[in-house]
Amino acid sequence: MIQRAVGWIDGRLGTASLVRTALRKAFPDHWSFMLGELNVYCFVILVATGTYLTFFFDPQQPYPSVIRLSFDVNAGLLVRQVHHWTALVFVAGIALHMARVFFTGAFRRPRELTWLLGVALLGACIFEGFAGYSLPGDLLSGLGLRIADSVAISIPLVGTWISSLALGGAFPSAEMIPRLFVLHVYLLPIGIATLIGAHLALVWRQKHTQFRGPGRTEGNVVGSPLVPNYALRSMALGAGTLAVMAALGALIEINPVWEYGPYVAWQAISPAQPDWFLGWLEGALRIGPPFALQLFGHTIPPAFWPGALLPGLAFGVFFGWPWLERLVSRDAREHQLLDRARDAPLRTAVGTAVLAGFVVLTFAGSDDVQATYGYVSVIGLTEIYRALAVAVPIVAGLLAYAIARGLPRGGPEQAERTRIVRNPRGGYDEERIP
Amino acid sequence: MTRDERLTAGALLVSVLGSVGFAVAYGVHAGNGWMGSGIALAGAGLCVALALWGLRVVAPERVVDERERFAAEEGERVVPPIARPRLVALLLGAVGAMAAAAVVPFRSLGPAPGEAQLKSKWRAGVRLVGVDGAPIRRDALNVDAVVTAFPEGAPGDAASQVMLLRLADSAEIVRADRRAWSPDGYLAFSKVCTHAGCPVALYRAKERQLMCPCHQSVFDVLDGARVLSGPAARALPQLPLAEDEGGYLRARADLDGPVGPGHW
Repeated sequence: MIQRAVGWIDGRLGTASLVRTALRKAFPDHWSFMLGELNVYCFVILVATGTYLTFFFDPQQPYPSVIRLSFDVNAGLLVRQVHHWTALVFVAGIALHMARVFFTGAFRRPRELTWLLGVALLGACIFEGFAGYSLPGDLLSGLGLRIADSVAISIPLVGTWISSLALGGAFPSAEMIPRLFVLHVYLLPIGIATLIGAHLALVWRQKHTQFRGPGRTEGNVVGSPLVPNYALRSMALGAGTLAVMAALGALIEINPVWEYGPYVAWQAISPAQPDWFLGWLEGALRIGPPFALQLFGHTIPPAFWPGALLPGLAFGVFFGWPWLERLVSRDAREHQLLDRARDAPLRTAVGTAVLAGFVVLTFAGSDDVQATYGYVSVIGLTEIYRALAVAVPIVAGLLAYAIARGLPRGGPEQAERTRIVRNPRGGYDEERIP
Repeated sequence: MTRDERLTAGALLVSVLGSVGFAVAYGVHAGNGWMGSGIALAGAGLCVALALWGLRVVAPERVVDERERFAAEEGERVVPPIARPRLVALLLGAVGAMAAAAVVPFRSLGPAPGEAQLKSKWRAGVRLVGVDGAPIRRDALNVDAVVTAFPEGAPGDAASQVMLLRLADSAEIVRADRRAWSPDGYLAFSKVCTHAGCPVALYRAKERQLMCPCHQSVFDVLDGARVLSGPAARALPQLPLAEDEGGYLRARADLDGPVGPGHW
């Protein structure tokens, strides 16, 4: 039957030779290469569950409709929780995938474009996640929107215009959730799908990178064939992702908006945390310098430095990294074989410092919880985290640099492979494997 | 069938069981736990089956793809020379103008950002009311208690919300010139944080501190809501209070500074 279907298509499109090569395409076997696929499966689950939710969500009555779809619609709460959990895992998967690509140097020539698309995807997905959890119109997410608007108006020159045009007036506006809805279910998903398509097209065209190993060179890719071996493994990953997401959505409550109540401008929640991927910005806003800059009769308020400048700089460095690294390494050659972390100590140090900074800021973003359960007052914690936010990334970076420099060089292809064999006298000999 | 094939078949049957279980759970309104567990079982069975199939049933295979060189030969001309370069430049200009024109209607999305955005409705003589719109009397609060207050006629107005609190004694107030703003120990500060606009909803009565639950800016109530800690750079604007003959709290004037987070 499959033969006949393929024959039917081939007779009209002439795809037989393309399909034959595609089916035998080599996929490297290293597990870390599956992180990107995990994200594709998450995206599919998100589109499916999100589409179901749109049948019941009403952007004109966000909070009541979310309560209705959570309590009155059979399977509504399950789908909503699976959607939320998958979004959290999606962004985490993107971050892990990006870390793998970064620390192995997979972004180097000829894959700069793939890297740029990937960083754009990270940004789009964080934005998409924020827009999504702001939709229910609950008190917690309303505070998040309030903060986001304060950061928006802090941007010099264009900030107040961005805010006013985005909200259709001052915060809180009646327009804001209907507009976020259009962003969340229409513009951003289409943008994300387009970026994923372009990203994958580049991966396909340029073929995968690979770690060093026997038989692997700059001129080839060694791996399992797409069909049947790799495709089966990949589909297993997809089914496993669905299983885990369904289990999370079924068994672990997430974002119980009925406990927060609807957003009201004079109410607040304490302690309050955003979704994990915005915890670093929340932390940065909490420990940011209480410093406003007066400039030509205008103000750059304190929310600007941690809220707008920091993420702007971070994404600037992410986007520009392939070229920034080249400034130091003076290496503009093509690289199909991957580095290990130790092979590029400077890159490893920078990546470790960024991750360490992310972790410290994320912890700073929950200092109110720590003050509730700990012995230090929240005022003391603010000061402690201000110091840690500077010190920890520097120390972690230096440490990573030292470790990377100290580890022995050379890929596994240079290491001598041996095996232990028992000899006739009952002892053991070590024997080289050619 | 080999052992691995039998295991694969078993996992696929488990998956079917999960799907059926989901449908049944949906039908009998068994709740999210059962429904989601059904899907989880269906997915897990499929996952195990496909993994066994791909890793054990199918023989491992090694393929080596050679890479092609993408770069064109040196000196090879890929793009033909542009004919009519002036027309091409004009064409690009026309398309650019069209794109710029398409941006113009986005102006309709909202009003120009005016100073009116976060203007409070406090004026001299306006009575303080609660969320319900009822005027607040001098005996409304016990010492160390707080309530959110609004100007009469605008209960719930986001820009005008103030935290009204009561000290045991106005003499505690640091700035002598402001003691007259606090009849009977009453003090009122804008509830919109000057950092990121959250409601400054927490009052630590023992320390006489207002605290914002979003980013933990701490303000000294006794010293004009000066910033003690956290990311805020500006004191909360204070609302000068007075008492009228009827015993109601009134504003002496507007808040003594601009409301809410700073902007360009």
